[in-house]
Amino acid sequence: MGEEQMKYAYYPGCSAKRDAPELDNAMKVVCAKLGIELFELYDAPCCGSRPVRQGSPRLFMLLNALILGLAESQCLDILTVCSTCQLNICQVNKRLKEDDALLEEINNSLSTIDIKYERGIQVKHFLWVLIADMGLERMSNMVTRPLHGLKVAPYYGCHILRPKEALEFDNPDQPSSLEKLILALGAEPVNYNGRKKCCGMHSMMESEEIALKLSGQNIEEALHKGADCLVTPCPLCHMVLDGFQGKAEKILRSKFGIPVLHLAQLVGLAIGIAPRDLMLTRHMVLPRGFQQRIRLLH
Amino acid sequence: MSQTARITSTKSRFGLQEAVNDHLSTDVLVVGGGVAGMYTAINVDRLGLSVLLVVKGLLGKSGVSPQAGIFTFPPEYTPETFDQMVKDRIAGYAYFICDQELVRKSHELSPRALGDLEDLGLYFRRYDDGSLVIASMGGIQGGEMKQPWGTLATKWGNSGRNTCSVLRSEIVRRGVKFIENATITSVLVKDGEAKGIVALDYLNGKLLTITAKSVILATGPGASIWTYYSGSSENTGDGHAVALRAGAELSSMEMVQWHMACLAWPYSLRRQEAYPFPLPPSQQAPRFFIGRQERFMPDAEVGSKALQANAVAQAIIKGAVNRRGGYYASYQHFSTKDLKEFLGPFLMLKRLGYDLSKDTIECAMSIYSIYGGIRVNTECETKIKGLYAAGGAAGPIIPGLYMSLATGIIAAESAGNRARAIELPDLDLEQAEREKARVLNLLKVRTANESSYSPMQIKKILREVMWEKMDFIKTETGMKECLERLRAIRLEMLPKMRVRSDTTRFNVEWLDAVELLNMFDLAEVVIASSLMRKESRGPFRRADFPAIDDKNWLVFILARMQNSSITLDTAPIELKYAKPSDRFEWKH
Amino acid sequence: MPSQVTVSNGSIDGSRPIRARIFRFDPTRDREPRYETFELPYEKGMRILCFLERIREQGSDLAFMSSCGMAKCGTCSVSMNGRPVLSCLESVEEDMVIEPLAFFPVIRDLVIDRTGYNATVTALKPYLHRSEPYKGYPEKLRHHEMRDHASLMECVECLCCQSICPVLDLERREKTSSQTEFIGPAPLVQLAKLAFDPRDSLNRAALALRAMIEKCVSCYECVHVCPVEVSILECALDRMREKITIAEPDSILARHIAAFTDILEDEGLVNPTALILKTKGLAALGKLPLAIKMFRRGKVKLRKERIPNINRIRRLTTQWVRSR
Repeated sequence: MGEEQMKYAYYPGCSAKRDAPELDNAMKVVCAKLGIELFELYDAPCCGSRPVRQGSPRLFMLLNALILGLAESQCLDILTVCSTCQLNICQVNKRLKEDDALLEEINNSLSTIDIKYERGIQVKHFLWVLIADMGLERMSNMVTRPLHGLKVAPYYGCHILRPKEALEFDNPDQPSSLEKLILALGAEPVNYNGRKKCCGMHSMMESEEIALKLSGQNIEEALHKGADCLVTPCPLCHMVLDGFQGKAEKILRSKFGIPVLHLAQLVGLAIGIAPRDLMLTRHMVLPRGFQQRIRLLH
Repeated sequence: MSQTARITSTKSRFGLQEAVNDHLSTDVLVVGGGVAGMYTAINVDRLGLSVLLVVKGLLGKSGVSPQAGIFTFPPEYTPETFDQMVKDRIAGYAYFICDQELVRKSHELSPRALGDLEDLGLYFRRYDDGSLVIASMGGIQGGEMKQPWGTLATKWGNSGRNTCSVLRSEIVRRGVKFIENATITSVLVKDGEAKGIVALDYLNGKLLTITAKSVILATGPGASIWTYYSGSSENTGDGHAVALRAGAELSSMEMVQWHMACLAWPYSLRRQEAYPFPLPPSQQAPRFFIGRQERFMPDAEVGSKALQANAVAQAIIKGAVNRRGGYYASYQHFSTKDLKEFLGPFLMLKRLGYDLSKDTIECAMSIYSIYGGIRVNTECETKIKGLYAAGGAAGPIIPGLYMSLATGIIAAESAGNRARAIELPDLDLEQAEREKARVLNLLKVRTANESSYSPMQIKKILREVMWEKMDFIKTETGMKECLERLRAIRLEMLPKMRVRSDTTRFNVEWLDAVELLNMFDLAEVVIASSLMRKESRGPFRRADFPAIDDKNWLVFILARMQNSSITLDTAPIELKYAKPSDRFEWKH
Repeated sequence: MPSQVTVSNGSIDGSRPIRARIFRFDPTRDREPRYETFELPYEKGMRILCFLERIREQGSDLAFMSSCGMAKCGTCSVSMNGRPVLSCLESVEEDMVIEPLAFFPVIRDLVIDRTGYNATVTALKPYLHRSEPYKGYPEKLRHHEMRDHASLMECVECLCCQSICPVLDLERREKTSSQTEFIGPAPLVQLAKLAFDPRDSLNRAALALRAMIEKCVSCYECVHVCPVEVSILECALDRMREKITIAEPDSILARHIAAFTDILEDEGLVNPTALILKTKGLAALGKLPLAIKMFRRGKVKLRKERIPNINRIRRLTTQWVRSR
């Protein structure tokens, strides 16, 4: 994207607006500094996550088409900060682009609320915006507090990688976008298998134990490989990894105590935003050791 | 990369109690787990008789059936159009080398069989308005037929697999007993009657004797004796060989059908056809080109396999292509939507990197099937009492799902009638022991200093010799060389055949050895019968006798084994429903 | 016209020979598995199956299964470099570790035992239970009502998805027997195939619940490895979940979906606190200690917060929500 202004329709999703306000905050503060202009879609609904997709497939299409329509009316691509939102909106966008009959049907229903989508925009996760639109070089140039010596375990989770046909950005078998970004921020990425494995969030309601164990084993592995913290592009993963880390410890009879950062927070630290402005204290897991570490880097 | 702790399998046999001294008995024994075998077993079970199904691989997955693409089916037919279709099949597919009554009977049974499958849940593709999707299947004249009859499918290229899945579920639902990973080694015949079989359970390294009132061989058409074949690697003609050795007749084993358009590469995918048939809804077929421009068989594109093989043969003779490749299939005139929806191998082609809207697919030939087989009458009986054949193993017929299903009805009834009428026979235990010893003897472990060959190494050589010398267009010299070469291999290499391991656990080499001996017998019959037929006819082509000769060769060539050697004979063909004068001008 | 085609999965230039370390194990003779190395020249378009067949042709006694060789029988699945694949469909890579499909009992070498899997599928009654007697061929069916069923007919039961599922992985490693609680994606595809056949009369939703469908975490790993591109999660499991909302409305799964949709309709965005309370009711109180901690960090919102123009959303939901 060169030196031109980066402008996006910002779709925060339910997590950033409800249980992960630190993410919403971090995005605003960080993007302001990076020169990325966010135009928030205040009246965009939930993307339907998994439940609406399962229970009411037609409503699922309509909600996401509505989100796309709202962004298109501002002539802006969508920027997401949640992997599930990214997958959902992106997948619906792709289906509408490939199927004329479907688009017509959807637009017929949307016309009852004066919305029309004309397939004119793309949907990008913040991670992709940084790598593809901004570029890693420009990103590195904006780093004022390189995170030297900080071992960061990238945690992709599922919906930013799979299914490949819908997302088409990273290689699900050998993803590398988070690692590249971590390096650009001056930190050291940790290599471990769990980085592309599921956190279990979408079955949390029905089988909490599975989610805790899946997440717990990923955390365990990252710790074992020497990670100081995890970073994740998805606030749903964050909820399990951070919010339920204590419970995961209990069920696996282990001690973790490893902080999990939102992607925007990691970027924020590296570009010189004060830790308190990134609301790290909102996290459930923030060991003193880590806080000191961060202060030292600053 | 390490494995986490594994539980090792204790699998023996599914659905059976342990046999006493590895001896089992049943009313009806079915050998072969494809569509013919499974459907026969289901029909026998419906009669209330005990039935046992012996499968070389995994039930519902092994054999050639999963590869079958379509059902041949007449659209609304009147007695006239049905007659026409039967004529076309006899003339255009079998080139008159078939049991006409059996062909007609099999087609008559189609609606019943298709209804049975649909009742069990098989979904024949419909349009949104509910009408059946039918692709036209031009007949002998490749589209010039006034009454084209059709093919229907679950998906064009996938019908066999879906049929196997439904039949397998029914077998399991009914509790029909089956043994997997076991291969027949011999039919035990005494006083002109079949009494049972010996089989190798290679999963557990055991030899089984099974007594049965009726034995039905549904072992497939035996096409894998050439290097490039379609159908499964298991398809080594075991039924043909054991029937032959037991004294039954094989008929018309020279009538070998070729695929003219399989993927030229890679090696293992030569089985996959570039599906050269009309596809719904456009009823167009892929186009075939030599080089860049020349569409070299526009008529045959919608014609029968034999017609297509003929066209390729002409091109080979002209030197334009060879059977290893050099000609190309194009789907560029189809919409991607239709291909995705109806073309079974679409995904496979995509995975190989083809973009069918732009690319053409290099094609080469491979063996499709042997139309000849174990000689049966219209009741699926062989000349040996109590021995039957069904599906591709029977012959001479035009193979296909319709035929496997029809014989699944006929053979079940015949075998069932016999089973009801007689007592369980007594096996000649000595005979059984001799057979077991023969099979055990194949398991010689190689020692350090001797030169030896693994069974698979010899198999490969056999296949290559057949591929080289029993080409699509044959010559007398070539065939004689083939015979000599195979005999030499048998004499020189077989005595040096050794296995690396005599393990009792899933011994693939032992299976190879059993199959190899069957393949030798089968190959010998194919070559001998081919030498005898001094003409060219449909898929059977000879450079030294290029013309068709109805005067002399409208006969079945029959093969028998007497004292370990093959003797040939001929038998007249009853032209009950179609005569050569029904055939239009021959386009050679 | 003939045009250059490249191998789609794997970029092989063919200049180096193909090297594979292959798992060898005969439980009747070996105390533990070992790996044997083979090296062969590359052939155009080489699939793993070509490689394995060539090894046998050279005299090896390596045991592996294959039948159709063209992705229809599902017999030839193996694990290659940690990925479950069909050996007939998958290109070789220059350096390979080939092992039996993960987490199935090994018969010998690359041959696995499917009887456990077969038994779980049988328990789901994978055959048509007609609600009315068959009326004769051809029966009245329209493709649009059979579309979902037809898409699942593509499944060849290769078991690659069973091998990669992280929930099955978790359960297998915990339990001493090879049976897991969660039945796994492959049997659920077979169940769903029949559930979407309008001629079928069995309460398949109840069977799906008994098979613990709610343990599926929607990770798309099964989708990613499926060699024949069955849309396992979206076309089978999610559509089964839809059936569950209708046929089994008191299940947690159905209550969760209903609660989520209700909150969405009410507020536009979904508040997890409200979601848990609405789905689980009093049972949610078990989470109280954690909830209090989260509340202190501002992660628990107790008040309703509606997005602007909520009526727009409601006009959509009133039309299109199923379980009304």
